[in-house]
Amino acid sequence: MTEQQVDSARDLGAEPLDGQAIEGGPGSHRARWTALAVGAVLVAFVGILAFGGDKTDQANVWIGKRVPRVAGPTLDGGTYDIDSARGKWVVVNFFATWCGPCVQEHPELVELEEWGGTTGEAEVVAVVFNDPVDTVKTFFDEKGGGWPVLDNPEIPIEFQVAQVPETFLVSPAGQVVQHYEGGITADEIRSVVAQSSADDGSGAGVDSSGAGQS
Amino acid sequence: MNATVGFAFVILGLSASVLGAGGGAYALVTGQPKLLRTVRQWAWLVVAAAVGAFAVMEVALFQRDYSLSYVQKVGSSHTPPLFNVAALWSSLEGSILLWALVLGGYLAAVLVKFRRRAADPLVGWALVVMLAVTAFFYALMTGPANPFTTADVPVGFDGPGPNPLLQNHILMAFHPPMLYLGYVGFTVPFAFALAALITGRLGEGWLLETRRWTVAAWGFLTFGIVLGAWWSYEVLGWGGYWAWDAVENASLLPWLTGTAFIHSVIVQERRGMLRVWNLSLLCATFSLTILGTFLTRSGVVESVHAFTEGAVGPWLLTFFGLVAATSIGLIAWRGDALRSTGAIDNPVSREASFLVNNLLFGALAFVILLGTVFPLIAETWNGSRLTIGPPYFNSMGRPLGLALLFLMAAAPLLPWRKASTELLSTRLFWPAVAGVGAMAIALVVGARGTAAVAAFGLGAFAGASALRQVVLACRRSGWRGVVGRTNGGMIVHLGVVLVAVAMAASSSYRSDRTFSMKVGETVNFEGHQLTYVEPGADINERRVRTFAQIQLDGGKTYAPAMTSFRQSGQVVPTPSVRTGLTEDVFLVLDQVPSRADDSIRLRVVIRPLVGWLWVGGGVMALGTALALVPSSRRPIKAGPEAEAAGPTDADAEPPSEPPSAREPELVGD
Amino acid sequence: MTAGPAAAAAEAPPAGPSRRLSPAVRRVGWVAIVVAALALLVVASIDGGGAETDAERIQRLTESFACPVCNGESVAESNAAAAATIREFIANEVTAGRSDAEIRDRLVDGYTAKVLRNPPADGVATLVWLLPVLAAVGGAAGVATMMGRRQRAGTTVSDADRELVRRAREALGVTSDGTSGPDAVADEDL
Repeated sequence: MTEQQVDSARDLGAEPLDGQAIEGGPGSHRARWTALAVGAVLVAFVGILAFGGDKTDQANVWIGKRVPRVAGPTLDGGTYDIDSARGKWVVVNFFATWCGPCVQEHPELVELEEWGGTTGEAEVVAVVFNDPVDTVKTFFDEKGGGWPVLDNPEIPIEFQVAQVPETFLVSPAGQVVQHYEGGITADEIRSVVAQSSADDGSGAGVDSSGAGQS
Repeated sequence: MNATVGFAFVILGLSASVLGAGGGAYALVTGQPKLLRTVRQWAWLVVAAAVGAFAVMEVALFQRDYSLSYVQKVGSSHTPPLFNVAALWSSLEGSILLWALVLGGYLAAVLVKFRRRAADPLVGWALVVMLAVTAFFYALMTGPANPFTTADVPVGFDGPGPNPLLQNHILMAFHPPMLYLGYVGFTVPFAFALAALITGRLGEGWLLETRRWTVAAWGFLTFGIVLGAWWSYEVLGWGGYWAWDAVENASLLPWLTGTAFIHSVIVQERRGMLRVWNLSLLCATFSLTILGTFLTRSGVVESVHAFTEGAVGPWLLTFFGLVAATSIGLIAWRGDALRSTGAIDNPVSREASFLVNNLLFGALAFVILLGTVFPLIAETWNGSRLTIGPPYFNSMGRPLGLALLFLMAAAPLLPWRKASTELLSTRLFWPAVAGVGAMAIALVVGARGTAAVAAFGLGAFAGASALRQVVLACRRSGWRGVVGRTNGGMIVHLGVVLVAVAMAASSSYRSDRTFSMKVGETVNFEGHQLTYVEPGADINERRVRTFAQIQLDGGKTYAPAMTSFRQSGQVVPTPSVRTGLTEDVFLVLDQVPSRADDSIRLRVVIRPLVGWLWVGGGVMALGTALALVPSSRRPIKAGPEAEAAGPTDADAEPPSEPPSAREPELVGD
Repeated sequence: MTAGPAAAAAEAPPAGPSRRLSPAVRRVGWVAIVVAALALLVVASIDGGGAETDAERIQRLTESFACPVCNGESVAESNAAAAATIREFIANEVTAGRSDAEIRDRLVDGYTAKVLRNPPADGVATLVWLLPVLAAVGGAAGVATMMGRRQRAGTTVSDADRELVRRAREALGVTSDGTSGPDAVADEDL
């Protein structure tokens, strides 16, 4: 305990002059009082370590919030704006080709794109996270998938993305309904969409279980 | 099978610890020497249990016995043997097992060293305290950190192996054991300090018993910390060696209080002063090792090094509270009887300089502890989330570090009790000239910045001063001039100077740039020419290493790589470093080479004098080892007779000193 | 007080790493050392000067933000993808002519104040700066009062005492700063 040291340093000043040890006697309890003071600080310190901190789950702060703007040029030369997708579910996926779980979840996104295309209810948009553009293009050529891909560092920063893959499920009303840190499967997205649509037709419902997976 | 046997050893260790500690305490309180002697047997059982449990786990790792869930977690059929040994301590449960083994080793050493003094209450209580500590760690292994839990084995299962960062470099096999030897080693002086408080034998006797142990533990901790920094530099790929991360800080805290103790204990031996203070420092050092273990393993603070499991957190925190409360309670009880017998006569004297040294080390420890736990305090206070990062620690630590360097230059040259100006001006003259010379040279070679240049100057000042002492000692006593605590201590000081100068240079003059390069491209940076020769891959069943051959200055090629581990799917950068006498060129890939055209993003970091950090660390370890060699020809009085002399001040002064050694006592008397 | 050690040194054969200097020369030497040290520090503190270039500004800014996924490493140092993304972001913003405060606010908006490497100097964070200073001042004051008291209470050493010590030393064949080095003593082996 550092407090202890600082306090004990003061205690040194209490040493009797001329080197005589004083046993007992008035005014010689300084070590005891210092120790008690240090003990009090210690209790507070252990209390903070044991019960301190803010235990709210940071993973779910996004749920229910309005989605930040996802817009700009895409890798294939077009442009994209999430506002024009209002009325549809949007799967906003942050990824990089060097990231194993991203590569693993790619087929799931392909499946979601097909499902969204056939039902007209949903679409996928991806944002590159620190990866060269031509690598990403090659990756899509090999693995398939034709959804718009944006490469703009502002977007991951707006979304506070720190590690990929990270996926946000956005409702047709433009609210974040789910936030996934780690790989996703097409089935879990579809089930959230199905459940939300069942809860209220508007599709703006928020999954109250808030089980953002990590 | 392994699980059963291993767990049986854990239970044996726990029972023997509890019985030994309980029986010993009972025997000491009621005064039953016969019962007290049985403590030794229990203690040996505890040692045997630690060795047994450790051996069973290593066997299980080598057999790839996946019926153990721990082996499922860290084992893999592809891990090479050395890393397989090290896999044992690569995760939480195993690290506690290693802790228990090291503690067992120290316990055995204490049993052997004090084998003839089983009836001595001081030794008895010390054993009781040590057994209480072992009891805690065995209890951890029966509860939240049980390494021998079993699990079903899926058909054809093969584990992921240890965390990729831990099997990337040979240093990882040595850094944790060294650190643990340091951490755990402080248990011995702590046990004797508590024993002294309990028995009321508060003289210098217990100090003399344990000073070697303290110095040895300090040396291991120093070496462990330096190895950790080296590993961080060679493996983590960000070009640095110290990030003021919570876990790094946790290892530094006991080092700081331990360093303060090693210095201030000399004052107690010589002058009988600072007794409460020294006891407090030892108790603080041991408490801080437990606190550090808690911070590392509870997830309460974020850290790259953290073992993320939280279940052991409450246990470790409770133990920390118990240790600290016991220490404080005992000091409150005995403290006022500990009144010192000496006094400081003059602010310019060896003892006063040790006092200032302690003040500075205490302040440094306070700053680092505060900075480490402050995010938690702020979050508790009003929910604000903030980072206490390196700029904070640097701006707080820099002035304290410079002051310590100055003290390191002056203090060893100061006599006890009082120094005359004349004496100081004679002794400090040439070291001061060296300091100014170093500043001038630094400016000539282009160094700028007040703090860095001051660090070079003070470093040279302190280095010359330490060198002067070593040279004088060698002239006086030949090869014995480099052994013994004082002389070894000066070698340690030389190591500290190297470390300080290397840190000042490498953190002040870092240049860093990232280049996008195509195959065959050449770039120039800070007078170096870097050519991307060709990409390459090195594939085995364990991992895929994708590397880029970089030719540096038209000479040797270096191959920074990205390593992808098959089992875990993790990708980690593997830097490649050219270490030189004056500067390091650190190469690391920012991302995996492009699959389209093999282009890379190469990060080049140039830092001067980094290599001297590791040299300095080695010199510090060497100095510690030399300090442990007895420096005089006369036999060291230890054993029953010396202890029987009791808690008198006479203990502080070894008998039969040669007349010349008495001389400083005359100065100013 | 001046006579003692110097006289002893003059009588003793030259020893130690330093050649003996006369007190006057040494005094001048010390003045030169102090003046030179101060002058060198002043030279060291002189900045290269010139306005900050964009590259320097990017470097300074990236150093002032913490990588959100690593501990302790700055955005400038870290190898993590998140850090690389923020580096790119900062570079773009600087090129676009945004102010430091704007860039800072946008990053804090996203990643909270945790992204600031230096704790802010307001609110509860002031404590982290204040407490060490208070502790240091308290500790220093404690040590200082203690030494002050000692000095007043302690006996002073007269020149006659010193002369006695010097004689005793000579009798033992020891110089004040010579071969038997008073400051490295044999009592300190372990």
